[in-house]
Amino acid sequence: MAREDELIRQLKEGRRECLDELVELYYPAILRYCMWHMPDKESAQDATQETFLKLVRFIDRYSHKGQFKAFLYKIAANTCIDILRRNTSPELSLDAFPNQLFPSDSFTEHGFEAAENRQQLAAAMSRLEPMQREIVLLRYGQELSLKEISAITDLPLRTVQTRLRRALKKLNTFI
Amino acid sequence: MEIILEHVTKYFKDKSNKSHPVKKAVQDVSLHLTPGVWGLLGANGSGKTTLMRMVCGIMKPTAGRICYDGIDIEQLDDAYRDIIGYLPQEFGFYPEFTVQQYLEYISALKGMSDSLAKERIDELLAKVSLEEVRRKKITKLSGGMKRRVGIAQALLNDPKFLVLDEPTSGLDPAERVRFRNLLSEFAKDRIVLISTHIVSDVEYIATQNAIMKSGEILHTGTTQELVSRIHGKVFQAMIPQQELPMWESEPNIQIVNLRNEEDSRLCLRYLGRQTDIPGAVPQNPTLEDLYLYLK
Amino acid sequence: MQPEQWKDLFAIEKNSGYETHLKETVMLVRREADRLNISVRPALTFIGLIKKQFQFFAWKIWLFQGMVLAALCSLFFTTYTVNISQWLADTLPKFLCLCSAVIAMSSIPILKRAFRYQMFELEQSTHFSINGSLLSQLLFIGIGDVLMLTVMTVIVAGYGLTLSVTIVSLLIPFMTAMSSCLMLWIRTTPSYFQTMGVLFCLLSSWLGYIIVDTGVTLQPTAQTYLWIGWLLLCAGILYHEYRRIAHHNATENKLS
Repeated sequence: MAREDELIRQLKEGRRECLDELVELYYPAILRYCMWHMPDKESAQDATQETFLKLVRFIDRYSHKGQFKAFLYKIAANTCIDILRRNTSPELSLDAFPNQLFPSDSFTEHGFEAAENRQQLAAAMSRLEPMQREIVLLRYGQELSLKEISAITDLPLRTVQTRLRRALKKLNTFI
Repeated sequence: MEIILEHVTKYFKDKSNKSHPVKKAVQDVSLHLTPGVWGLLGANGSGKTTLMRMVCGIMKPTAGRICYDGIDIEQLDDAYRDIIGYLPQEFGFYPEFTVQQYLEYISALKGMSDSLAKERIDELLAKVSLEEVRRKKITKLSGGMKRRVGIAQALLNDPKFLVLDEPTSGLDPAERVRFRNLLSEFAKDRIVLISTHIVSDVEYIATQNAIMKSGEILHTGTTQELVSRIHGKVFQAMIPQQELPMWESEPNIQIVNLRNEEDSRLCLRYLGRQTDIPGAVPQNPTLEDLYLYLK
Repeated sequence: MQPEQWKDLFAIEKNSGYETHLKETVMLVRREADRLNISVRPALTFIGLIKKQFQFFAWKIWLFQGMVLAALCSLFFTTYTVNISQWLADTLPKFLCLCSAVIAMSSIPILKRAFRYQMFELEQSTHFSINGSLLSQLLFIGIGDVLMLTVMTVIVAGYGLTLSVTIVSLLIPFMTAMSSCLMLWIRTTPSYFQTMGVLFCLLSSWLGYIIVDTGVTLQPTAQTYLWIGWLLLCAGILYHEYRRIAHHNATENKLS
């Protein structure tokens, strides 16, 4: 049984402190996800917080059936879209690919090279179709399995594989 | 608590109609439902029932989405159905069920434990005044009593969102008043969505109304906001009975009500201009006037 | 680029300075949980629902199936006695095919009941939805069907049929009919379901005749593999359609 399944089971038995551990378990991943989708760190943190607040409203009733991650990521995705719309921000995109994600490296050769690669990646990613971009982010940015990505995006596994392959092929030509 | 419908659309395949094989039942409906009573007004075939079914999660939109507190209801699945109470337009009962058995059956399907179900059933039967017939077969009850059983089952799980599709059809005026009183009490801190083609059902209890026609929402707003659209357009005039066919075929006016008066005269309530019928007197518009005007 | 290189490219430093915000989020989530009073919800589990459905429906379904079985048995015993002619002995497998189709057919009025009494839409809007109503009824129907088929097998035991012939005569039409009925339930409107269901059940019976006529053994012949394969296919269809219903992918055409 995955750790979140155990935590939810205990939560349903009345152990509310399990919520703390559940949030701590997923906070870094969801923050990272929100930072890919929001224009700056502050709004990413807001989106992350709102995601967990929405989650807690349904956590006692939601019979996640082993799909907790997918449920949580979908809430995060919708929350990002809602906040962007609310703030009448530009369409969800990675054009303002968050430099905040990459803390400034020290002035070493490695640091410069890493920063340069990431700038290239940001530019290349912005040229992908939105769903391809999302799949690449979930796969390599969030390190999710293809099965998990399929559950989050509601796409069949084969489609996810195909789109990922095409996206990487395109990225290879851009980079 | 809020329920947001975003560009909800529903198409059906209509194989019988070769020229138009796709039927648009609901088209690009966006609504923001907040606690209070919402009236969804529209004629039969305007798409109300399809919209209600999508809002209850038993039919998927072709496009658009419906969110409860920011989460897509499709994602929430049974967690969403836990907070809704639904009374369909056409609903029946298994013939062997008594009132008690029927409510026990529905409470089991709603996932309620035995103890909670018993408590709620006792409470609701008292509220809808059906305690004395709890052991009677539902098929033996009057139409009004059956409708009250329907309302009771919708309230079993103490829903945050109550959806009633034509709840007063078949009820006599006294039953309708009783129903309105019950709803007004229930609607505090909850969202109640009532679809009806009987304007008086919602005119006085709805905080907001939406008028639907051919699958689209024409207007939304409070009763006051909606009727202000036809302010200065509603009149009443007395005409001889024999003139009725003439005025009925008049394209500039729309008759909304007729009443027989003495001396073979008719009192005509219409939408148009004051000068359209001699002796016309301005009237305060009602929601019914607007509904008929848009129909 | 290799997958590992992609991962490196996306890698983010672990210490991103979010600890303060994390603490704040945890506190807010806890407060929200307290406000909503999230706690143990005394919900009915699916097993609990099945137990309740048992008291509402199971005995009625089994009573109905019992009446069907009684009718089949009385028909059998009036037609076939211990000293039967060769002609009757030859028709026995076909009679079993028909019985098996009738056993499957007995589920049709049960499956149609929710539409007949306009309960379907309301049941769909509840917590357990179609799982609670239809699927639990299918479970009871299945148990009753298995009992009926077993009784028929036992009854004909003393009539000179081999076990393989008995099993094939009963199982092939039954599994074909049930998988057809479930497929029809998903794909047709309630008004068509009854007529088409009966038709497919009779066709299944006819399929059974054909297979039985070609001769049935348990020897590893091509025919044996064919009918075993057919049974597995029917079982697969039943499972697939069951899952489709359970995931709410099959019910829109039921709403008028």
